[in-house]
Amino acid sequence: MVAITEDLPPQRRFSLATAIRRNPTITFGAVLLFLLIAVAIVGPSFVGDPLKIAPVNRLRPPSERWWFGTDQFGRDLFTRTVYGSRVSLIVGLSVAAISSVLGLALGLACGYFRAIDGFVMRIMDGVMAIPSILLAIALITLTRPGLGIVIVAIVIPEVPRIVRVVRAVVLGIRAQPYIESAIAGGTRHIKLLWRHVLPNTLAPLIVQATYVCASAMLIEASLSFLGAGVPPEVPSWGNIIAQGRTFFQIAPWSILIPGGFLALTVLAVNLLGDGLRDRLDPRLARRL
Amino acid sequence: MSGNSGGILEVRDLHTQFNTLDGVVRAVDGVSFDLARGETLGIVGESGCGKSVTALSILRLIPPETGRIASGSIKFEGEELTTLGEEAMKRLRGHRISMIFQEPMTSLNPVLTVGTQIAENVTRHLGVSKKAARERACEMLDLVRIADARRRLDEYPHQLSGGMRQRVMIAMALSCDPQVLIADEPTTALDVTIQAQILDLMLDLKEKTGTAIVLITHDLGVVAETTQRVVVMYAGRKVEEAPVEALFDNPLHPYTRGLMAAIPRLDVDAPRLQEIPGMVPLLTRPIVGCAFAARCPIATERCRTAAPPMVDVGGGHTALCWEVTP
Amino acid sequence: MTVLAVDKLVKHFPIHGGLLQRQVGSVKAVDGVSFSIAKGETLGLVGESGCGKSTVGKTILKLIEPTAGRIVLGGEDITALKPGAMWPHRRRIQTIFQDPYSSMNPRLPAGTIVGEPLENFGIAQGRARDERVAALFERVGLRPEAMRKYAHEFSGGQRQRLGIAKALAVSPEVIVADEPVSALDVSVQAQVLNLLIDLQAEYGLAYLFISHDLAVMRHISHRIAVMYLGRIVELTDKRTLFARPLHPYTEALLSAATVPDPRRRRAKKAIVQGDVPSPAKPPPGCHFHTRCPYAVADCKVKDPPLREVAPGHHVACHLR
Repeated sequence: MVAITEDLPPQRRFSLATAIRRNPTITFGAVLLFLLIAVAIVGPSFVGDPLKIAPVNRLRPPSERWWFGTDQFGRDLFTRTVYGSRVSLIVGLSVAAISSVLGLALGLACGYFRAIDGFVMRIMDGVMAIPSILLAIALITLTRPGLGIVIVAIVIPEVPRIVRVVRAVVLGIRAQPYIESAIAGGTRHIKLLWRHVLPNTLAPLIVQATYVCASAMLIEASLSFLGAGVPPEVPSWGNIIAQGRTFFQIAPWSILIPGGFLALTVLAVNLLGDGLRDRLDPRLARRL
Repeated sequence: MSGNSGGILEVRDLHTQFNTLDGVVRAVDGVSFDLARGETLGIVGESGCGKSVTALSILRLIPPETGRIASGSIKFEGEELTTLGEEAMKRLRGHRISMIFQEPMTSLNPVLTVGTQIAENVTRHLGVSKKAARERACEMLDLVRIADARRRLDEYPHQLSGGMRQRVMIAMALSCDPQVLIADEPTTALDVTIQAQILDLMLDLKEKTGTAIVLITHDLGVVAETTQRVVVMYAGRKVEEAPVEALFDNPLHPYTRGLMAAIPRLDVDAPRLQEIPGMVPLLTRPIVGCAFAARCPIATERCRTAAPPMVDVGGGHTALCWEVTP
Repeated sequence: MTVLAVDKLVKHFPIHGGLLQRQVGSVKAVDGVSFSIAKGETLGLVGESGCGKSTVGKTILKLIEPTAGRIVLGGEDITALKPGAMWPHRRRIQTIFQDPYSSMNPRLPAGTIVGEPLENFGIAQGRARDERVAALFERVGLRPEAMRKYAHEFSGGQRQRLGIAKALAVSPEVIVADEPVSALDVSVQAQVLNLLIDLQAEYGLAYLFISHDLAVMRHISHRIAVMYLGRIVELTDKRTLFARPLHPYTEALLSAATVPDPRRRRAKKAIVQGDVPSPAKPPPGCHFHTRCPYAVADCKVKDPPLREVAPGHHVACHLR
């Protein structure tokens, strides 16, 4: 019998304080995003009606009564901005979620089953060539404008970006000896994908999803600004900016404040994504 | 041999440490040895024993972000290297002390021809004209027996085979007539027939140029074949030092003995290989007593509690062990 | 009793080039290799990098499809089996990989990796599986508690033990071991070699042991096949190979290997010069003639067949 006395190196304990100290970007991005999500969820119950018109109070600058000022119909911009965060976050998160699921499925299939790879990837290249704003305008002229159609219009061109990332990762994993080892051990396709390939694609997928989320929020705002997004009566940041455009000279707050929030949200998501990428990339994570 | 006036390199009580998330790693933990002019010294040990870090320490190539020479002295021709300025060190490296590495591809620049790279080293250190440097490069490729040297000067590293690249590295290392050549596992990445060619070449060149060689390897066969004196390292410490014949005839330290009994032999049939049980101790914790005690078949209580003495049995043969009697 | 027979095995990898990625040539990684292994026997496959020894191993495991030839596993021809049809045969042939670091999924606990083949073939599930895995861990010298640990928490030698435990799980007849000890330190290498030898005696395993290290070969193999550029150039029992090598390449390998004995330094210089030619453009005739010190005119044009020159001693050389 051989000796069984090899000692394993001790494991480091997980500590929240150390984790925060080592990943300031993730912490900052995550905290900021968490605050914005909290505002989007509970905020509307504490503020008034975002559609309430009060012509007497038109274009008031920010003050103690109207924290963010009012617009040309006398609507409270603070209330509207809080409601607008809902639209941005719903669009960003649902586009990220839907395109991740679709992109993951297609990416796994392309990377794993080489027979369909060429065909699917050429379609993806084609889809990627469509500008999302034009696609959205086309879709909205064909149907009724609404949040759903905006999400669909943004998801379609975002899916190929995810597919490419997942496919590249799957091709890398397929070449790993542990995949051959599993095949030699009698592991069959479904289990191989589920147990050995899929979990290793999740880290890069999450990172890519954060970038998609940020870009979806920007596209949504652009669409609303152009009048091709959510209907004008819905208070989204894009709509608020679009409506404030004419009065920018006399009421700059109606553009600067929602614009600032949009920038802050995108920044939070991007910081989170960058931090996660640095953390999850094994080449960087192994630094001393 | 050690300690006499012929020593070109003297390492005394060298401690090199690295800061990691797990704590301070004592990669080299009090190593001393001498290198005589024109001598071939082998440093042998398993991965993580500190043999490569010793070499990097001599050349002051320890990355300052993570590691440092904590204490000790390295004297090259009487000059202290541990405190030498970086500029002076740069003039020394590749000129009077050279180094070749295990994987030549990573130490050659892929976008420059091999001729340019050798010539650059020559111009930098010897200050000769470009033309003379190129002549020297051609001469060096000839010396390392690369056929058709003039044509090869204009080739890029990727156009050469692994054995050829190692020859180019040797040509570059020797291009300024160094007094000391440090070779870190120079043949480990090569096939056995190519390894034999490179070892032959290194020994031949040593005869011709009189360069002293420090050969770092894990392979006892390579050590037996090429070196005159051997330092055996374990867990950052020198556990034995001896002339090569004495080491193989009469290994004193239990670790050296264990290694010799553990290698399969090409020349004899062994019924069963001896195992060294367990594994190398963690270098993040201070080691009390002998570093090998936990795996040693003859360890006593004393070995586990008190640091063993370096016992000199004469003839330049020393071992770091309580159980060896002079 | 023969458990694995390989007959004239060929594996060519296409080389694509040009604008249209048309096939412009092929790497003849394996070029007509034949051998057989009996129960309880170790056949060593030795050669330098690029000689095709690992490709032979992967082709036999059907991890890559052979171009031509026949692979017979336990009396059944598995050469042309599609992945689905090959699946039940995988129980009989297992493998141990060279690199114990990349051959383990970093996200799975060791017990799951070792137990996977048991689940795959419906041999044991749940608690029964865990019990068998624990027994396997003990058999290869690991503590059963280590089942919950992940690959990075093991040392190189321990990971190689995990690889062996996984290969053993389904009680195979043949194990293809591709350089299983070349990534390990000397002291750990001895532990793993001894374990492999013990397991062979215990279970009557047949090993195809692939390595570049002649000293390791001498220790573990019963018979040894020497490969050069896709072909077997010499095949005989261990004793004969080391005492009376017939092929000039075998001779060259033996003379080039270092011996840990300073009194027995190689007397003569390395007898072969130059590098191994590219397997995409092997030299005509005998592949070795470009480096062979004895080559004659015939060697440059005629392929030497692998002939039996003495009982059990096969050599592919015109001069023997």
